[in-house]
Amino acid sequence: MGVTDAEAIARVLDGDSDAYAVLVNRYGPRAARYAARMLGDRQDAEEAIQDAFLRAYRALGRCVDHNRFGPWLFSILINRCRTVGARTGRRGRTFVHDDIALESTPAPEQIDGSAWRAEIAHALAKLDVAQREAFVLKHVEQMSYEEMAELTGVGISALKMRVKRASDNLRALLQETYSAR
Amino acid sequence: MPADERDEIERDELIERVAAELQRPVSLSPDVSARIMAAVTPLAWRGRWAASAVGLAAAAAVVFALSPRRHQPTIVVFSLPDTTAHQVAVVGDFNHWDVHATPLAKPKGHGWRIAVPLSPGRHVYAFVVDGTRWVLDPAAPKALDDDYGTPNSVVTVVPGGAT
Repeated sequence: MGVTDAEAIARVLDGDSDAYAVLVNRYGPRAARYAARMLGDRQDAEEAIQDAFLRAYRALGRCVDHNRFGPWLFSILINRCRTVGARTGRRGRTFVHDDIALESTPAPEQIDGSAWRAEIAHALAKLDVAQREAFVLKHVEQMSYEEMAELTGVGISALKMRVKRASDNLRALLQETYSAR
Repeated sequence: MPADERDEIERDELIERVAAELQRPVSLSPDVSARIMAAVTPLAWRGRWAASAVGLAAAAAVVFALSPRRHQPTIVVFSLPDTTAHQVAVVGDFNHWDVHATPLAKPKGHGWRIAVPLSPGRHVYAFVVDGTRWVLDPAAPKALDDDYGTPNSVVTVVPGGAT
């Protein structure tokens, strides 16, 4: 039986810093996917993930419910991605291609899979941050609206509207490509 | 099937296909985890160090007061008038949020209190009652929301005294 989040946290708080690796390995892949989808840039995503995990480590005493480290970490990660994304936006990075999209685990059956993934990444990047965040949390991370509200601090009605608008915008951007496949 | 029904189904399918694509795992640099672990240091060691530092610094407070130096610590008294608590600790950026580092004492006839030397600047903190209940300082302003989802109080230390 594996180490639970609460057990790993107890060990870390007791001085066993190596026990934090349990949490890094357990939540790293999901954090990587979220940061990559939100930021679309490998370097930015890695920065956000590292920052989030280190902030969580230093403030581990503030994690009130040790059995809910995952959602607590995700709330930190969401804010880190917002910060990194805002800084990137001010730098005026032009979204040309998404190296993360091209190097994701490849679809086994698609002839034009990489092109389709690049189209999706490009369309996702065209959404405003709030819509992209809501869409990724809902449709990629498959959270409930209640979970999303807890993590983002945004009301459920507003989140539903953002998801709907994001979906409408993505359809408008991708319909032609999708219909032609 | 009517064209508008076909369109509706196709639109839902499109979002489902987009979501399925975005749900695929993402590969980042293999050393991201290693970089994170290289940056962590044992928390309990830092907590014990902080507790010792509080004791030493409190004992040396008179010396600090008589020998003014730039950025010298100011003694700040944290107090909580909770008559139902069995134990109270103050946690903050000054003790790495370690609930074991700075317990408050409850002198007979008085509320919970502890004197902590803090460097000039803004400090975020909270009380933890009976090990689990996170409590704001009723006598201090509330800190703006940060990353961690728990409410905190703030004290600003200026040379000569806290505000």
